[in-house]
Amino acid sequence: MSDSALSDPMQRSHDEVIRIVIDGESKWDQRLIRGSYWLNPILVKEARQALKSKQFAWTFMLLIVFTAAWTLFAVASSIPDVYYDSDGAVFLMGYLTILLVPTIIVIPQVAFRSMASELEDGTFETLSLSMLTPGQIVYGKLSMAALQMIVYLSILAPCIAFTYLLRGISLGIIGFLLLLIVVSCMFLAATSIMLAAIARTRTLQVLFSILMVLGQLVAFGFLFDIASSGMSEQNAMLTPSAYLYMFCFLGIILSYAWLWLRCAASLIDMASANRSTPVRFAVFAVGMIIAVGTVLTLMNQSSEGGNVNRQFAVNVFIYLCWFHWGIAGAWMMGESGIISQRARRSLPDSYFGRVFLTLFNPGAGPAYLLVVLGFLGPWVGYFGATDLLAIIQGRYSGSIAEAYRSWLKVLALAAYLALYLGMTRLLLLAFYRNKRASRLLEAFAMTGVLVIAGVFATLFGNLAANNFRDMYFDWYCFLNPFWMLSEYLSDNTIQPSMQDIFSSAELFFAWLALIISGSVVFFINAILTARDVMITRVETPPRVRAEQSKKKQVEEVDPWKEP
Amino acid sequence: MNVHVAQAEPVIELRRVHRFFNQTKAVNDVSFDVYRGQVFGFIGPNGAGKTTTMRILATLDSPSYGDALVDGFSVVNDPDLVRRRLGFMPDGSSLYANMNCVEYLDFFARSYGLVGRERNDALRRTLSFTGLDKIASKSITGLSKGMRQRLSLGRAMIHRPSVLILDEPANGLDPRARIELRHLIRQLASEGTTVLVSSHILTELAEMCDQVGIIERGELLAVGSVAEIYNSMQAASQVRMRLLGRVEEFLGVLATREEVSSVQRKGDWIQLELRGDDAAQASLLRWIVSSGFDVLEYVSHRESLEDVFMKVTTGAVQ
Repeated sequence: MSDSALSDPMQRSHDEVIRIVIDGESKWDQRLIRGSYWLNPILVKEARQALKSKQFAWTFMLLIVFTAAWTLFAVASSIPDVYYDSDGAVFLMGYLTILLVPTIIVIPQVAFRSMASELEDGTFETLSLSMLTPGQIVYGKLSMAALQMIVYLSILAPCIAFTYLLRGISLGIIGFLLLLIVVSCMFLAATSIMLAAIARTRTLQVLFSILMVLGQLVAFGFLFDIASSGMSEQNAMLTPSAYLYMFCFLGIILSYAWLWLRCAASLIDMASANRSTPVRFAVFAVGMIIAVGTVLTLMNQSSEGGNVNRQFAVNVFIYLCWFHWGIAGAWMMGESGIISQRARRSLPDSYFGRVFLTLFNPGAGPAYLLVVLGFLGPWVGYFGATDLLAIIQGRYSGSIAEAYRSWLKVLALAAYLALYLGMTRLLLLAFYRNKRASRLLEAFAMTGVLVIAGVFATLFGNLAANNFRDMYFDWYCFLNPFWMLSEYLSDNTIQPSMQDIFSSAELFFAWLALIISGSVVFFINAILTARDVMITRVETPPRVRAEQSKKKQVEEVDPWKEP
Repeated sequence: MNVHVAQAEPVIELRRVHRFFNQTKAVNDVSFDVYRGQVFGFIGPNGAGKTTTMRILATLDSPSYGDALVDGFSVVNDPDLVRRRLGFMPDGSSLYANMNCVEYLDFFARSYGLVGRERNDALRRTLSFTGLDKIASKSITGLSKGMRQRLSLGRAMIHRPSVLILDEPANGLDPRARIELRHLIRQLASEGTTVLVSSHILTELAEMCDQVGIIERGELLAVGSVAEIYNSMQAASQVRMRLLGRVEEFLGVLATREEVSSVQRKGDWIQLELRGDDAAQASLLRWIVSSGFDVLEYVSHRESLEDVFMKVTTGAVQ
C-alpha cells in the first residue's frame, strides 16, 4: 500500500483525494484501473452503477438467502437418506429453479431498463455524442448482463458442485442445463436491448415491458420443463443426436441474439450512417446458420438411417429458414433507396465486391433480391450437391420422388417470398414515390395484410365456388400459403416416378400458378432494382482519410508512456 | 473581448440550414460563421429554432436542407469527426444516478477514447477548471443545480473540444453561479475554444459574447456584434444633457442640426434623439463645445442587447 492509503482519510488534502480517486489507492487499484481500459466503457460504468444500486443488492442477497434456505430444507427433508440416496437431481432442480429467477426474469428486465432509461432520461444524447460506436453501446449493455449472470452463477456454483457429489446427476446434464440457461439469458437480454432501442415513447416502453414479462414467463416454463425432462431422461439427452440438436438449437438462438444486437445498434446509429448493411449481414448469417444446422442434422440422420425423420428434419429447417427470410424481408421492403454520401463511401468498389456484396447495399431493391436469393441459394446448393452425389453413387433412382418433391417445395417457398414481398415493394413504390424516409413498419404491416388478404380471398372464393357448403383445394388456392403447404405436407407418398410427385392435378396447377406469378413479380422487381444497384461508391475526401489515419496512429501509442 | 482575424477560416459555418417538421419551419435558411476563440450568443424567443439549430450542429439532428461545418467537417457527412471536435451541453441535461462526479467524468473520458495519462490529466484539469475537485467523490444525486451544471460543462469539455455548444447553460442557476459560469466560458474562449451559447438572460450574453445571432420563427434576423446590429438597424441613440444657461438659444440652434431627430426639454435636462453612428454623436458634441455652450452633464444612452432584441423580434410564434 502507498503511504497515502495509510494516512487518516479525514486529514487528506483535496489533491490527495483526487489522486486516490483517479489513480487508485493501492497498487492493486492502480492495476485494476489500468486493466479496465481494455474493457468497454459502458461495462465499467454500469458495473459501478450496479454496485451501488438497490436492485443488485437485493437480488444478490435474496439469491443467497433462497439458496441457503433450499439447501437446508432439502437436506433436512431427506435426512437420514441423504447419506446413501442419489438425490443430486432433486437438489439440482431446486437450485436451477432459483437460478432461473435472476437469469431469466431479472437480468433481461434490468437490461431493458438500462437501455430504455438512457433514451427516456436524455442521457443517450450525451452518450451518442461520445466516440463510442452504437455497437460498443449495445455490446456494453449485454456485457453487463453477462457480468451479472456470472455473479449469480458464482453464488450457486458451490451448490451445483455439491449436487454432483450427491450422485444421481451426470456432469453432462449439469453442463448442458447451465449452458441452456446462459444462452437463454443472453438471448433474452439481447431481445430486451433491441426492444428498448425501438421503444422511444413511454407507451411503447410499457407495452414492450409487459411483452417482455410474458415472454420471460414462457421461457421460464420452457426451461423448467427441459430441466425436469433432463433429470428424468438423462440417458436420452446424452446421445450424440441430442447433442447435435442442442448444438443447432443453441447456435440458432445465439445467432438471433447477435442479430437483435445488430438491429439495436442500427436503431441508435446516426441517420447518415449505413445502418442497413450490418443488419443484412447478420440476417444472411442467421439464414446460413439455419442451413448449416440442416446439413448437420441430415448428415446425422443419414448415419442413423430412416427417411421419415430425414424428411421431417428438412421440413423443419426449410420452414424455419423461410419464416426467417420472410419476416426479415417484410421489414426490409420499407427501406429507402436513397443512400447518404457517407454511406456511399462504404459501398463495395472492387469487381468481386460489386458482384457479391451489392445485395447488401441499403435499399428495398437489393434487399428483395437478397431475401429471395438468400433463401434459395443454400437449398439449391444443398439439394444440388446431394443429388449430384446420389447420381455419382448410382442410387438416384431410389430417391427420385423425394428429391423432386424437395426441389419443388423449395421453389414454391421462394415463389411465395418473391410474390408477397415483391407486391409489398411495388405497392410502397406506388404510394410513397420519391419519399426519402424509410417505412419499415408500413412495409411489415403491408406484407401481413397482403398475406391475410390472400388467405381470406382463397377461403371465401373456395366457399363461394362450393355453394358455401364445403371447401376443396383448387389451383387458385396457391394464394393461401398455409393451405398450399398443408396440402403439400399431407402428400407423404414416396414413389419412384415423376408422375406421383403431385398427389392431385389441382396441386400441380396451383404450384405452376404460384411459380409463374412469383416469377413475374420477381422480374418486375428485378428490373426496378437496376436503379438501386447502379449507385456506386464515392471517394472519401482526403481530409477525412487523413483524420482517420491520424486516429489509428494515436491508438498505436502506449497510453502509459511518459511524454 | 476577442477580435477574430478576418482571414482565418471559421470554426463553425452554417450554410443555408433548413429544418422542417411537417409544415413547421423550425429552422429556415440560417447561415452564419463563428471564428476561433469567439463566444457567439444565440438568442430568440421560445420556439424560435435555437435548440434545433444547436442540435443540428451537435449532429443530434439532420438538416432537411443545407449543411453545417465544424472545423471544415460536415455534420451530415462526417458526424463522427465533428463529434470529436465538439462538446455539447443540452438544456436540462440529465446525469447518471448511482455515480459520483469523478466516476461520471471518468466514464466520458473513456468514451472519448482518452486513456492512460491523457485521461488522468483530463480528469484533473476538468475537475480543477470546473471547481468540482472539492466534491469529486460526492454522489451526483446530492449535487446542487449549479454543481450539476458544472458537471455537465465538465463532461462537455473533458476531451478538450475546439467547439463548445451550450444550450441555456445558466438556466436555474443563482446569480453567483451565473457569474462563475460566465467567467468559465470567457476563460475557455481565451484559451481558444469557440463557444456557441444560448440564453434567455440577455444582459449576461451581452457581457460575454463577441457576436450574437437573433433568431425568430426559424429565421436569423440579425447577426454580428451588438454594436454592429445596432448600427445596421440605424436606430436612434438617446442623449441627455444639462447646460449652464442659454438653454433656449441652444434649443433653437439644435433644431437646425441634421443629426438631431427630436429635442425635448424635461426640467433642467435636454433630451435629444440622434440619427447616425458614434461618429455623428462625437461630431455633435464637438460642435456644442466649440459653439461656446457650457455643458454640465452629458449622458449618452447606448441601446442594450435587450432593446435591440425587442426591436428586431416581433414576438410572433409559429
